[in-house]
Amino acid sequence: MKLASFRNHSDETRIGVLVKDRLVDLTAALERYLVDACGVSSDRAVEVANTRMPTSMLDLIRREEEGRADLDTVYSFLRTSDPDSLTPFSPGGSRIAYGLDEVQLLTPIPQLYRIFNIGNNSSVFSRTIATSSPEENYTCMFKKTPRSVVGPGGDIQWPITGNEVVTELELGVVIGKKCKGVSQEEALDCIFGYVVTQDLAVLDVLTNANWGPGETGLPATYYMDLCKTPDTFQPVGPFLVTKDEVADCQNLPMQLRVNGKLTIRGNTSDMRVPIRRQLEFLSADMTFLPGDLVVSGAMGSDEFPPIAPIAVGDEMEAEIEGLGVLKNRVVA
Amino acid sequence: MRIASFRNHSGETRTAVCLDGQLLDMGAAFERFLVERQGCDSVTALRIAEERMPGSMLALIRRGVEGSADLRVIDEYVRAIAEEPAAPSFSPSGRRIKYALEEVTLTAPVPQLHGCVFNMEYNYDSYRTVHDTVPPDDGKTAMFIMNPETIVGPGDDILWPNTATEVTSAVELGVIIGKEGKRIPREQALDYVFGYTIVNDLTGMSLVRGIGPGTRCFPKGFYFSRSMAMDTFEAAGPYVAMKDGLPDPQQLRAELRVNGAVVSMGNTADMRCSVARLIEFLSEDITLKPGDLVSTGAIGTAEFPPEAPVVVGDVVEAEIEQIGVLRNQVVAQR
Repeated sequence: MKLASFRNHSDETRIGVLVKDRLVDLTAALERYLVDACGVSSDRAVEVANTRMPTSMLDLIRREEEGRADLDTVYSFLRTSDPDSLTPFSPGGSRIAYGLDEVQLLTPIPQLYRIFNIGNNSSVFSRTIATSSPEENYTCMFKKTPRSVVGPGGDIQWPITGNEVVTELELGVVIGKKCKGVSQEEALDCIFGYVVTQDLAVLDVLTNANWGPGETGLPATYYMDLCKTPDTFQPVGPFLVTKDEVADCQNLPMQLRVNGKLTIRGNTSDMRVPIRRQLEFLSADMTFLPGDLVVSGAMGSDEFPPIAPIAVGDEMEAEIEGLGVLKNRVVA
Repeated sequence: MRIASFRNHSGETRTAVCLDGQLLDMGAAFERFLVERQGCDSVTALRIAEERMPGSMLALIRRGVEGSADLRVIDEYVRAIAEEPAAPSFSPSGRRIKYALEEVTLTAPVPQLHGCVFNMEYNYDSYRTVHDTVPPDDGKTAMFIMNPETIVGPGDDILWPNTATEVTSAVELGVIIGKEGKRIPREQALDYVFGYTIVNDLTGMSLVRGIGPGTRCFPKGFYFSRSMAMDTFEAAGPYVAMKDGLPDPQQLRAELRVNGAVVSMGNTADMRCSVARLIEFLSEDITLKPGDLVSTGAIGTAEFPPEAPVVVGDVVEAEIEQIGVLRNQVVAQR
């Protein structure tokens, strides 16, 4: 399923699922299902639907297995009954189906506030940045703030703390259940779904730092989180794709086009540390919560490297196979 | 004025004023104030109190200037109630107002936090006694983003980790942001502060030590963020000292004691970047919002360095003058 958050015509934040080319309001659809297929009264249907299919994507993911079951139920109902043949409005008065161009898509999890970014996760990355490598089977993690997140069509704001901005294209992994001490074998069970993300940074905040000699540490790592966390420096979207639609998360081709020109090209097969190992070492001492976003590392190739400079006015299209195209523009 | 979040006997998290070893539930006190001093009927008083003196610290902080005005009113009123005879008093709706500190559990000051937690590091020159590394640039310091859920409260257990063999603890001045802002100039920065608290910041130091030579980035430097993000590796509390009562955060003595012995000691006067400068620095490209916590750096001196080692069984006390003592214990994971 391709899930999305969107703003409806009453300016409310709602959750939806793509059925053929229609975006269907999930809460409204569940109300309709409860009345039509289960004979529940309208009032009761509205009440139940708001609990079982909350309009907050994060709250839905927090419902873990029960949430997934309700999603499957609604989706089956929508697949067997053509959304356009349903009464346009739910028992609660919400519109059920929309054309994608009729509504504003938001970032899939607008309530997202926990983000874990994996860095330095491919050999081409190490070659491009000429840095020493992390130990085998480990890589670095840094974090972004909730305000770093921007959705499809959202503008990326040029920072004031530096003059060089770069972007990386990365597969986002959304966690589906509370878990800790996850083994590599169990890791994929903890995943809710996947999303396209970009990871931006103000590069000269790092490169202009007082590097200096030293045996044990360099200033630039002092500013890693800082250079990555300007507001809007983590585009996420357009859809949150449930994991059943992704046969192999370690074999997804991806590309970034800047102003229509291919700039980054890679595949998740190049990950030095695969996602199942990332979830294992990250969760060894830290509890993952449903809705957490793990941004799994910049992919690229020697010809189309993993880090690309961008400038004000650039229009970016980030695409990962099966997950959609994330479009954003860089503004002053 | 000191306020705190606590868990009452019904398991609800409430906000309270701390006075002389007592906690006074602010919402309950406000109800009583409205009835006794403003002639409200009890039903209206309950409704107004829930709105203006919410049990959620985050909701209270978000009330901004109006919230601060109501806090000043309640500060005066609770001093009067605190002097009443021993029996615990109740609000018109039957909510208990007064508790002895030992009767309830204090939680971290902003338990409903879903915003940002910024940990600033290398903000005191004494870090050089612990890390042989070049300094951050003037006017800048290291910053790490933390998960709010890493934070535990006064008296909570600190869990020994699975993936680190050395853990250190540090006392830091925590700044709670009261107002939204971006590109805040340092002259106005303290206007954006709600109050101050104590932070005990822990690090899985074995993941960070032994950084080898290199030209641009060191392997162990990669693991800093993860070494700090382990569950329970940040304690905050016990109270929020309101800004009005603490006009100058740059002259506070601080101490870290492990099993009663002083291991770190220092003064916020030694911050490389002051609280005002940190707010200016952070907010250049990041919007700061009410409830955000900025932990302003591990405090120490050359003689009593920051980042002291701790082991399972240790009782750690982080103290900052005018705020209080934050006590936690290090335990093995079950």
